[in-house]
Amino acid sequence: MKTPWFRYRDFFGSNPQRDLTDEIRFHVETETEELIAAGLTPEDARQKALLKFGDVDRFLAECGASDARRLARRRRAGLIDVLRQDSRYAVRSLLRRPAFTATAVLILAIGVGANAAVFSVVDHLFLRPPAGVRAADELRHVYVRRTRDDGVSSFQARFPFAEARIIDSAIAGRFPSTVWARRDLIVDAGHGSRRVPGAWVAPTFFPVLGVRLHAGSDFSATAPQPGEPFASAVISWAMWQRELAADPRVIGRTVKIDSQPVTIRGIAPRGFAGIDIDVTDIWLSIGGGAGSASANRWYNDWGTIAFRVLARVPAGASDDELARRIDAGVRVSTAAAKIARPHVKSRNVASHAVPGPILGARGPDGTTHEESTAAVLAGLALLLLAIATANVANLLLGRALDRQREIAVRIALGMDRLRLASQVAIESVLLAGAATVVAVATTVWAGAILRVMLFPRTEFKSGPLDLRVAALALALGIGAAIVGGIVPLSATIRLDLTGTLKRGSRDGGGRRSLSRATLVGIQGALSVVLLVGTGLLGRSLHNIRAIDLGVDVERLISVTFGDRASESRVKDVTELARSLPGVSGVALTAMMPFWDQLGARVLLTREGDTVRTVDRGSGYVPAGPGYLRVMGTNVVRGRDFTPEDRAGAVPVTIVSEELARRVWPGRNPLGECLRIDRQESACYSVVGVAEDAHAFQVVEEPKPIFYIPLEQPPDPTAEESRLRVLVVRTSGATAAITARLRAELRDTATALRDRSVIATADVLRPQYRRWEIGAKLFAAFATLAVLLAGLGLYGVLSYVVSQRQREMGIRLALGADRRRVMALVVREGARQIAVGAVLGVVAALMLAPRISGLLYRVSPRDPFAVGAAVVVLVVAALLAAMIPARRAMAVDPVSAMRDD
Amino acid sequence: MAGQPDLLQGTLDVLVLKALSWGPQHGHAVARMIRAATEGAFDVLDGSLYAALHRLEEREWVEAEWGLSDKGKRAKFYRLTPRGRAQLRSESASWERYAAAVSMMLGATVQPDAT
Repeated sequence: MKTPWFRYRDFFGSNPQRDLTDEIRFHVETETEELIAAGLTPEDARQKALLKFGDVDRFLAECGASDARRLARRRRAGLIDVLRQDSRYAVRSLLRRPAFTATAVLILAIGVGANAAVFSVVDHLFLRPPAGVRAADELRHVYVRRTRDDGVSSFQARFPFAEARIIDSAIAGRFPSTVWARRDLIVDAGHGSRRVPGAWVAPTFFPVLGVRLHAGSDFSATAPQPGEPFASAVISWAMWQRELAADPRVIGRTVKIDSQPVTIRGIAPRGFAGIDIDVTDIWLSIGGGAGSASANRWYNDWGTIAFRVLARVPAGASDDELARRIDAGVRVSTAAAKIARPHVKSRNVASHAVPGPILGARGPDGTTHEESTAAVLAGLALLLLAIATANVANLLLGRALDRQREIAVRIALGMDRLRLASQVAIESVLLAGAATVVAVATTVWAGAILRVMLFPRTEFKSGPLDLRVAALALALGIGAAIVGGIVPLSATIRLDLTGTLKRGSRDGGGRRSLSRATLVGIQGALSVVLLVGTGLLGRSLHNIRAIDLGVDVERLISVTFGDRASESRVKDVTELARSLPGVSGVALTAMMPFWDQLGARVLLTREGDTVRTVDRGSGYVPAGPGYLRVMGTNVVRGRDFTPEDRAGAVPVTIVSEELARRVWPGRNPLGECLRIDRQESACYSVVGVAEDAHAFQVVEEPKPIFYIPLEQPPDPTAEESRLRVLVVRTSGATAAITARLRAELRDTATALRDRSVIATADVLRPQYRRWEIGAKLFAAFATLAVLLAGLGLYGVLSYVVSQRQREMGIRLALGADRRRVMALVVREGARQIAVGAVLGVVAALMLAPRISGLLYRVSPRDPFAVGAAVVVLVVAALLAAMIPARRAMAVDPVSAMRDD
Repeated sequence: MAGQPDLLQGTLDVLVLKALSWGPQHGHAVARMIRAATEGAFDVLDGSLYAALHRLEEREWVEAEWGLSDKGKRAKFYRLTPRGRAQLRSESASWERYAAAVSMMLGATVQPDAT
């Protein structure tokens, strides 16, 4: 009875309701007959039989329900059986063609893996609040939308310290709020100085974030009074582990930060690494800053805009109220700024507070370079997935075509088309599953590499692989399999039976190879898009590297002295550096090149009797004798400073070309007179014009800069006039001299501990790096894309050749030139790729403006990049076509014709 | 017939399983066998018996097939599955233990030790 027949009867044709009534009828009739035989009248017998049976309706209900449950279970079991059978069949047929299976899995895995790796980064940047922060969705960064008199408006996220403090106190009555600024610091924890990503924070910083320190205390208990130096710091758990050997006695220890002794007061909890995408390793309390002139520059300067205001909007409070309070604060600070800097006329006509989320990437002011890189990356990964999907669709379709005859036979023998389609679908899903496993496994390291490359300063809260990433990978894999499986699926369902059986498999699929050609075309098009992107970023990188900084960065080292370094100490180190072999020049200044902020000054000139403010944002560079020569900045007119330009001598200045252009357009600036900040300032006579030099960035507009002899500072009493930095020019590579200088300075012992020796190229390197990474990433994605497209084309052409072997045999037998047969195949490939290339160029021209933020001095529609992309694709296509073409050429006419 | 003990569902199930242990039967024959074997001690409505048969079928202790009765009529025949047979074995064993315990107590002639 456990025969398949039984099972199938359950599926088809069984009628449980009728069976039940039949069963009762049989029982009652039999019983009646027996009772009649026992002597009852037929009437009575039937009565009694029914009476003995009991409630018929209840029986029907109870037994009917029981039967229904049983049948449903059986049907489920049957379905699972069928699925299991089909899966087993699919696994077997996949294993029978390991090359096909491995290729398909690999291709899908590339697409899925790229997306998983990128998602693990994007997720971190855009979707997750910073770790270790309590109720991060309640936190708001303050943004102010400013509208200028010319109608242009922009979001301001960072404020001068004074303004940030005013806004903070305007909010504080109602909302917990705090002020902070990111600032890299030079830290010496006992084994050499190192640049550490840090932040200055108000005493309320940790309490507002709800961050409880791992050890020690935060700044909220005993905030330094204004006027006190930065006395204390909180360090990150990671830094504590890495650089202080997780020593619990580290609290209370003194380290040097920006050459100042600072006491470590606390250790942040594990996992908390600041609240923006870059990791923070050290937090300094914002006090007054009298102890540090470099800090003063940040603090008391309305032109230094670095501080952010952070507020918590608890449940029940409204963002509107927060905005109103911010607006009130901004009004006060605008008034205060006018008093502090009467000579500066603001162009802002309106401002409006906008509380934004804590995640910088989602703020209203747009995104940073890193964040837009991540967004573009996500786009690239999706493109690659599309290519991989098209490719797998192609492979599956090829396979479906190969099996056309087999399938036609099975359908003719009565197999359900839907069942066949489900087998094809199961095959796709199995491939996707295997690919996802491979992809997820590779994400672990691919994601890690991506993170280190893209975000070297970001501490990721979780490994590259977590449940979300795995779930996404699985979803994408199955999605790709379904999309990739649709074409072969519809081919199976729509299969023309008689045609296929009559034709035989050899000549099959004229129309189908059209859809395969379309898939190859799509891959080619997407590859072109990626190739164009690669070309654009490559050109940008080339342009970036070719920028003339106006400074000979590669041969420059700077030595920063602490605020309290004595003059004799500075002099000793200077002489020591000068005496080193390989050093071609040394000069003193007050700022580390490409690191320290230029003091922004207001310049005035006197014309006749009127004093005119000529420029507001000019950068002031104090320069000792020989400074410009050491920096490699050429004096284009007039003269350089000499040792004669000392205190007491006639005050002189050298201006940059940009400054000269702005202040004296079309005139000779030599001999003109500049006053600095105040009308009554001394008159600095312009003695030279220097070529424009970059001050901070590799990419920056020429800034107006003026140089003033170190001994003739405009404000001799200011602390910053005491700062000293030594710049050293080497005749060869800097590495040896840097090491030498460090060693030498250490050797000359105790008096010279305040050093900080850094090659300027190392300071700038991170700025080049992101351009390099962009180009490399695009190149990597494009390479994969071209490889995939080439594979796709190869697959289609190989198929075409094997399908048309007989035709080619005939051509050859009839005397066709072998090379023409080869050309036939190549032409076939060329046609498919040409269509793809054209589509790709159109798509690239449409998409490229989206990455214009990643480009430098290259039009997003750069003809060179587009041309190169097409050439690369065509070459790849020719290479891919070569193998099948040669195979076509080598067809043996006799065996090709006999073999059917 | 009133006043006779109500037949518990579980007990009826065992009786049905036992009735089928001699071979496939239709429902009417099962009813007849139970009535004969228990000598009318239990008054079972035939409807309850069929409910039991379907219940057992749902549990896969019995399976059913349509066949022809002695008189050539279409009838549903039930037979024990291996699982049903195992179930019958374990139920009979526990029933015997139970019955032995009850009859030991009821048949006792000396007051059992109360400590």
